[in-house]
Amino acid sequence: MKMFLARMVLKLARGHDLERSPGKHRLAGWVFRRFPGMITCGQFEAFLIDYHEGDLPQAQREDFERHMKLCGRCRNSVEGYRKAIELNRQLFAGQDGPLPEDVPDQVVAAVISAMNAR
Amino acid sequence: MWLFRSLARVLQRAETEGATALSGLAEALGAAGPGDQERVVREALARMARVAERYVGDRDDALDCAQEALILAIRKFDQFEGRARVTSWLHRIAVNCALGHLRRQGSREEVPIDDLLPSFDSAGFLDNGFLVNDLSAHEILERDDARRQVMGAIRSLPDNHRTVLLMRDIEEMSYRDIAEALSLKENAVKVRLHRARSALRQLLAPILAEERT
Repeated sequence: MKMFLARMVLKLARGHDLERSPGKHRLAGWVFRRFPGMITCGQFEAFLIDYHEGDLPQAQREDFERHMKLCGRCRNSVEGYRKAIELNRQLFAGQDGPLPEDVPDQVVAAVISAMNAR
Repeated sequence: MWLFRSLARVLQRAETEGATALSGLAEALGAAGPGDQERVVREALARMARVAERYVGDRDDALDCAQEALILAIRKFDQFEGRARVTSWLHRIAVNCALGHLRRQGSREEVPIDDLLPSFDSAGFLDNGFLVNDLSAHEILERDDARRQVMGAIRSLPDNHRTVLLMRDIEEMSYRDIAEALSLKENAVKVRLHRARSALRQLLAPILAEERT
């Protein structure tokens, strides 16, 4: 029921377009702030790390996922967050290949002589 | 005379211990014999420099860190308990030396990342939405120049944020270990990690939005 009502109000505020319809945009904002079980985009962003790490408690996870279904911007925000992490991981994962061969001889010699000269 | 003999004995013992530690570590890294030490040392330095470079961002500084780290590892080899793989142990020492290097560089001005974090309008909505294409990270990285752009974005993060990002998302360290290494509270680590990831997302926005060609 909550979800149905929220969807109805949000349908009115279609696209949350501040430029086209400030009134509808404010109404949609009110729904996210005031409706039980709803959270704002700010709260959504604050929960994001725990959601991603699987640490978000059940009740908050439900609120989070409800918001994600209703708010396209936040859906994209989560997707961007996941991809940024994945790009970071894959960039360095690719570095597990052949080792660089540019270790200067004098650095190698310095390590060996530092030990032998102790 | 007595003093001279004692000093000579101490020096000889130190030399023997150093050489023993070196050969012990070399053996643990798969050296075929004393003649193979140079190859093993070179490989260990290359591996440690690659790790350090992620943090310090400069190849020469990374080689300095690797040298410092490997000498430290050889000196501490008797403390290596063999529970972890020796390469993981060296990896951790390289990270610590890189962090030490960043701390010594401390005077570097910290770049504020607030401008890269999401903002919200008066109704509470996310201000600027992200456009995200349907490409996988792998597909994105296969594009021309994408690797350089992603690397540039990561390197442009402030040191203290990039460090946490690498420790968690690349080194896969626990919050507790990161907090200990950086002398922070676990919650502060989490906050910094979230800010770093969010800033990275913003820096990568053009790549994430670019459509399939």
